[in-house]
Amino acid sequence: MGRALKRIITLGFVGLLGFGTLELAARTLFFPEWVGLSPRTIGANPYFGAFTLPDLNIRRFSPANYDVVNTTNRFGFRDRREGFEADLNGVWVFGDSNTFGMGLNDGEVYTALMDQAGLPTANLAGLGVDMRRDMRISAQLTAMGNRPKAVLVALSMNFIPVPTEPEKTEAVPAEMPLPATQLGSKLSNVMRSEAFSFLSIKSILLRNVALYGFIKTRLVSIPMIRDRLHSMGVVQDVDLLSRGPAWMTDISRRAEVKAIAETLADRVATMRGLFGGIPFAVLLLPNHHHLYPTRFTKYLTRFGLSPETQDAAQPYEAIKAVLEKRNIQVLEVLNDLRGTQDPQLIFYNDAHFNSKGHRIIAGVVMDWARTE
Amino acid sequence: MIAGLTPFSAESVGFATLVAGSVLVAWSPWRDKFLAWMAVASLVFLATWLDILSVGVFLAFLVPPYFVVRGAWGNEKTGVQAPLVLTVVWQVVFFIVVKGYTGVEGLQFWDHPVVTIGLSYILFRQLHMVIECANCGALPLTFPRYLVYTLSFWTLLAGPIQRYPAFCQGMAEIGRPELDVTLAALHRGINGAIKAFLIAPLFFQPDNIILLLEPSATWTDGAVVLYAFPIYLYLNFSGYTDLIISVARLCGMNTMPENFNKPYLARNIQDFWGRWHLSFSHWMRDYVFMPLNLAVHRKLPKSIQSVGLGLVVIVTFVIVGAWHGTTVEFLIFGVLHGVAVMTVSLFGGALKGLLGRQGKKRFVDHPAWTAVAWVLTFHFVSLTILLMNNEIGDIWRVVGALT
Repeated sequence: MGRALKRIITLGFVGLLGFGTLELAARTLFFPEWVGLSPRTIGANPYFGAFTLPDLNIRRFSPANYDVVNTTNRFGFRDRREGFEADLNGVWVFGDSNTFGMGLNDGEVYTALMDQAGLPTANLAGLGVDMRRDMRISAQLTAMGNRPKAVLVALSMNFIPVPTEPEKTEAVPAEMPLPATQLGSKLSNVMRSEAFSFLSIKSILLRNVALYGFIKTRLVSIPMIRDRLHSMGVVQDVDLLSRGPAWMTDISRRAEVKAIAETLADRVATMRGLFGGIPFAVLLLPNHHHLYPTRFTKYLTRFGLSPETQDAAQPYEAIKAVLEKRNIQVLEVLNDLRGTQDPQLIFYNDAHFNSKGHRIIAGVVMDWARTE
Repeated sequence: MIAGLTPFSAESVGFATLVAGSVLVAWSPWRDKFLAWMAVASLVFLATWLDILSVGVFLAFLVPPYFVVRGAWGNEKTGVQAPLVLTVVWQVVFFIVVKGYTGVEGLQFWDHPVVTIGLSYILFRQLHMVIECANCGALPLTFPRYLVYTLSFWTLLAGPIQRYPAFCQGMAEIGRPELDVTLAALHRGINGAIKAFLIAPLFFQPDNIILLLEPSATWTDGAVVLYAFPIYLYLNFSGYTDLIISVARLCGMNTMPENFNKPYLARNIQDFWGRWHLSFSHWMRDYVFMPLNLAVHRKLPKSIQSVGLGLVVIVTFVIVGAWHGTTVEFLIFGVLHGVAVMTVSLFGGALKGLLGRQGKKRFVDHPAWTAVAWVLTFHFVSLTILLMNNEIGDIWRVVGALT
C-alpha cells in the first residue's frame, strides 16, 4: 500500500512536470498566439464604470472565424483615437457586440465604413444589449458638452429579460462599488453554481491553458474532425446555437416576448426623449436563424422541435411592432442581407456579422443618415 | 523577460513546473546534482521577471559581495572587518537607491523602473552572510551555492529568510522523505495553496479607505476596510509560506524556518512580532536590535540607558517599516509599532511595580484581561496595516470626516 502510494505521488509529480513543460512550450514556441483566444476587454472604465477598457490594442483570435486586432480610444469606444471629437458631433450609434464589431478589424465595422465614406460616426457600442448602459453613456457624453446630429440604436435579437428598477438618466460619474459590496460580490460569485458549469470551466481553460487552446484550435481546423466534433456537440455549431434565450422563438410564449419587447421599447423611448428633436432610429439586426431559414430548420430538427411551434422571426417582429407603435423609426436590413443571397454573412462558427454583413449594414444606415 | 511567458508567480504554471522538477530531482539517483538544478531553475525563474537593465542591476547587487564574503570566509582576524562593514553599508545604500525610496529617486540614473523582485530578501540573506562569514568557515561556499542561497526560486518572492548554516544542512539532507512526512508536506502545501490563491484574493481590496467618504458608505464598509486587508495579508502570506515549507520538505529539506504562529491571537505587540513573519523578526532581533542594545549597554551611562534602549526600539521598527515599503506610510507604520512595543514594556514594568511578579502574572493570565488584550492588539495591528494599503492623505481625510 505504501509503495503504491509512493508511486502514485511520484507519478503525480511526473505528470505535473510533463504538463508544465508542455504548457510552457506551447506558450513560448508552438502556440504563442493563445492570448488572443480570450483577451480581457471589460473592466473599470474611468468614464462609464464597468465597460470596455480604454486604449486597448489587443488581438482577438478565434480559428476558422477571425484573427483581428481591436483597438479602443481613451473612452473605451471602438472608434478612432484621433478625430473622435468630430464623430461626437455626427451620428451616435449605440449597440451590442455586432455594432462593437466582434471578430472584425477596426476598419471593417459598419460605423468605421461610415466614417470612411465621410459621415462622422461615433461607435458607442458595448458588449451585450444594455439600454441602461447606453443611457448612462448618453447622459455622460451630453454632460461633457457633446451633441449628435442623429442617434441610432442597433438591436440584435439577443435581448434578455429586463430588470425593473428605474434607470438613472442624469449624468453620474462612474461608481466604484463600496468595500462591503465588493466583498459580497466576490463571495457570491464563488457560491454561484454557474461558476462551475461546463461553459465557465471551458472559458477558464481557454484563458489560462495554452495547451487546451492549441488542441482545440488545431482540431477544429481539420474539417473532418471539426464536423465530427460538431455532430458530437463538443464543438459549437452556430446553426445549433440560439442567439438569445431559446424560448423567445416559441410561439406559445408570444405574450411573454411581447411584454419584454414592450419594456425594451419603453427604454428606447426614454432614450429618445434625452435627445429632444434629434433624428432617432432603431436598427434591427436579425439573428442568423431568421436571416437563414435553412439554418433554423437544422436547429429545429436537431432539437426535435416542430416548425408549427417555433418562429425565428418572433422576437424581431415583436420589437418592430412595439417600436412602431411608439412612433420610433425602425431601420431594417433583413431584405438587403437576404438580397445578396450570400450564405455566409456571419462568421463560420460565430453568429456575429462578418465584414460582408457589415458592408451591407453600413449602406442601409448611411442612406438613412444622409436623408436626416 | 522570456518572450511569451509572463513572470512566474507562486501560483503560475511555471512555478509549479519548477517545483515538480525540484522534487523529482531530489527523489532521483541524481540528487547530488540538486544544487545545479536549483541554480538553473532559479535563474530561469528570475529571467522571466527581469529585463536587460534589471539583469545588470542584479548582477551588480549580487556578485561583488560574494567575493568579499569569500575572501573573509572563516577568517576571524580583525583586519577583515573594514571591507565587511563597507560591504554592508554599500549594499544597504545600493538597495535604497534601486528600490527608489521616497527622497532618493533622483539618484536613479536609469530611465525606467528596475525590477526589484525579491531584492529585500536577497539583501537580508547577503547581510547575514557578510556578518557571519567569520564564523562559517566550516561550511562550504561556492558561487553556485551562494547563488542558490540568495536566489532560490522557492524563497525569492517572499521568504522565509533561511540562515546559511540551516541552508547548508538542508542541502546535505536532500532526498526522498518517508511517506508520512511526504503526505504531511503535501497536505500542508495544498492547504497553503488554497489559503493563498483561492481564499485570500476574496479579501483583497487595494486603496479602499477613500470609498468611506461616499455618502452611501456604512459601518459595514468601514468594517470591511478595517478587517479585510489584515485577513488577506495573513492568508496570502501564511499560505505562501506553507507552500514553500512543504516543497522544501518534499525535497528532504527540513530546515526551512517557520514564519507564523497564530499572529492574530497575540496579546500585545511584542507577542505579535514573536508570531508574525518570524524569520524576518528574528533576523531584525539578531542583526539590528541586539547589536544596538549591546552598544547602548556598553557605551551609554546607566542613567540614560533606558532612553537609549527606547531609541533602539524605535530605530529597529523604523527599519522594519522601511523594509516593507518605500513610502512614508511604511515609516509611520514602523514608528507606531516601535512606540507600541515600548508602551507594552513600560506597562509591563508598571504592572510588576504595582502587583509584584506573581501578581502581574495572575493579572495578565486572567481570561478577561486576555480577551481585552487580544481585542486591543488585533485592532491596533488592523489599524496600522491600513497604512500598508492606503495613502496617508486618504486616511487623514477619512479620519477628518469621521471626527
